[in-house]
Amino acid sequence: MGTGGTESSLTYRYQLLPLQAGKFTIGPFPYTVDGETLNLAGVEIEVLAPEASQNETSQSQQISDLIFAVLTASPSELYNQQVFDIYLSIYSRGLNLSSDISLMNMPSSGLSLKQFQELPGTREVVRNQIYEVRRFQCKAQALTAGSFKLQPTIRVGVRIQDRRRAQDQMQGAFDDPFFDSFFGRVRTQPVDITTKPLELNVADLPADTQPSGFAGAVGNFSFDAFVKPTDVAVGEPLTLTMRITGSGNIESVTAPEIPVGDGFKLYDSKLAQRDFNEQQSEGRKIFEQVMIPKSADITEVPAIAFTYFDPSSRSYQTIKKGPFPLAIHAASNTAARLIQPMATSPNTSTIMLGTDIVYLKSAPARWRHVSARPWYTSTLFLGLQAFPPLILGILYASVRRREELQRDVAKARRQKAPKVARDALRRVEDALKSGNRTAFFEAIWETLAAYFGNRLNLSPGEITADTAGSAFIGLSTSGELMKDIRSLFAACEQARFGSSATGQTALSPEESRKMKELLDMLYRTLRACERIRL
Amino acid sequence: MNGTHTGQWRPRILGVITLSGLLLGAAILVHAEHLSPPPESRLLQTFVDAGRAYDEGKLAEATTLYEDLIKQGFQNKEVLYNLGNALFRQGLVGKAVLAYRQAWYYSPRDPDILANLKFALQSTGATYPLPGRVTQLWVMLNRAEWISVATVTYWILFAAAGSLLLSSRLRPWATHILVPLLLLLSISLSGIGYWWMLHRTPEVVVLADHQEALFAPLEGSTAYFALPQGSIARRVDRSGPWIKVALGKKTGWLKESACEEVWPLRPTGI
Repeated sequence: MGTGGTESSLTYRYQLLPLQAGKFTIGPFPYTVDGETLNLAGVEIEVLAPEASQNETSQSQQISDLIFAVLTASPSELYNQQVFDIYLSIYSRGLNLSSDISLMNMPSSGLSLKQFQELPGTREVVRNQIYEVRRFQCKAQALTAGSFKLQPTIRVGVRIQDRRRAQDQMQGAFDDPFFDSFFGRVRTQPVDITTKPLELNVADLPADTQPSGFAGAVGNFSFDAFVKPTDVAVGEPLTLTMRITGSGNIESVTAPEIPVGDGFKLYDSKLAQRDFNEQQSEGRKIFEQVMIPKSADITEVPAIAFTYFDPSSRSYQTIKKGPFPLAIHAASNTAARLIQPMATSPNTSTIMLGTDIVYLKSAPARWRHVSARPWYTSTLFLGLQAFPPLILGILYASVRRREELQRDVAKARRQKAPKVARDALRRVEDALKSGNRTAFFEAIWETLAAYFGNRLNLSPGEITADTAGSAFIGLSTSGELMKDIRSLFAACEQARFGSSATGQTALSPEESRKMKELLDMLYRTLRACERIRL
Repeated sequence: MNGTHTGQWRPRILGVITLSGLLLGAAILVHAEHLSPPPESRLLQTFVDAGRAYDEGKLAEATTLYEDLIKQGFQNKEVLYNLGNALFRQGLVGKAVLAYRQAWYYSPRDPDILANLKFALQSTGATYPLPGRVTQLWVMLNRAEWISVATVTYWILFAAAGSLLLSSRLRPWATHILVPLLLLLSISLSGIGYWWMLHRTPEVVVLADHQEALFAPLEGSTAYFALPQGSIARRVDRSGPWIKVALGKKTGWLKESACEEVWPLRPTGI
């Protein structure tokens, strides 16, 4: 590189696991940079065959140096029925292990093993080497006393880059390490590893100190119980609820014995609820026991004891709950065979309802078929129900509008303008038809006054051509419009107050034509004004 | 050539059309005969015959006649009530209670229906499911009656609202006018809701003897409470052949085959 240039390097590192002896050349490696292909020299590797004297022992020694497994149990001293943990740790160094791991040669009797679950992986230093450690744990239960030797074979898959296969298949077209891994040119080589034997000694539960109520619970448990209801009559049921929570062989824990004697009628206890963890080594069981007091002399449910063996303290533990005080009343006159009386009405006294049923009814006034559509599902009925809100809505809108117009006089007059103008125009047309010149111009004036007075909210004295026209000044059609408005007003004033305003009523055809033109102009003007939004 | 062929085919086509028309007409007539309800005189005759059979002690015959009317779709309260009587006289208390209860749905204030229903229940030791205070209000009227009340109230409410809008003199009284109407509308809608719920989670009548509601829907499960024949319970759940029934505050599981729903048909008549 010249002065001022930059330099960079990229390193690819591969780990190789020799599978057979011989000389191997890895490479050359073509590498393309900026369109230029560099051929990096290949590397020669010689894999030596194991010597006869070393043979298999030496080979297994080498493998065990790369991968080995350890099996442990916690605790190691066990009691019959005890639930304990087994840990499997697989140590590997420089190997790419697949996720599939098989466990073989585990004992098939005497122990009950749950599913192994993988724990978070760690790294450990063993013999000055750093190992990747994959850890697995499973819950186990000792089913019988005795000694057990666990030495399973663990088959793990080691992932190896398959160089030859890649070359054959791809014929160098994609001869790139990226494509090797991307296209899965990796094969998995199964490797069997054997752990050191794990000795388990399972002792019998102590027989000499075993309490009488012990029913096989081994672990660490808590126990709670309560009775509901506590105020009942003879023959009515009450429920004893017992809750056992803890870790151990909870799956096989049964309800404690209930030493109630003959005072109660007992049914089989019912497992009302069970909540366990996935490995069924921890959880809760709730039992319900229905008890029916036979006598009003009973004052309590005796104390209930739950006994279990605690392996950590190596002793039996007994938890007692109760006694549970009860208030038992004498039975009422309910049928003795009832398990629980019928749902009673608020009025518990018996009312005699006569000695016989009431006689038959006479024929119905109207025979109605079940397929007949009831009136309340008819379309007419359902459709009618839409009317009240609709009418109310319209009413509300009109009332609002009325109130608004009452408040805003100018707006009310503005909205009124077209209507009053139409009425006045009718009179203009009538006057024209009757040929009454005076009435015609009076009606024209009335129309103009009615329209512009309302439209512009003007008092009658304020209505002139100027006031009417000035409202439309500046609008697009104001030029023509102004001219028409002025013409109309002028014609009216001329007719009403001018020299021609005599009592003459007969119209010449020319006059009649002019009046018609004036009427057309009036129509045109009013329409134009109506189109303009002020 | 073509014209000759057309001439030959025309009478055949006309014949086929005529025949098809006749067949169609006949089919419609036959179908109509099956579909159209029998005239009221025939229904009345069956009803009277059933009553006569009852009086003569021919209870099975009376039952058959009443059931015939029901099968034809005439599920009037009078038919159901009389059927209940005929069944009760034969000792079929469960079925009698079922018929009485169905009749009661149509007419919840009918004293005869209520009296016979209670009497039948008492004969087996079953208790009458007395409604709570609120429910007592809802069962004062049947569904159709509640719908009538709700509809009238609805219209009056809107009319009142309209009047309030139009007349400012009435506005100070708006609360006094609208609140009672709204209250009545709410009550009537609740009444409709009650009957609707009764249709959704129907009552069942225990038809078999010595039934027991169990704690769980399993054979051999612990018995919880007894259900004498005729007991009226509410179906609240279902699991396979089992139904969960509620009686008062207790619930238990009962074989579905041991009971029957009170509302087997669409209650269009009420």
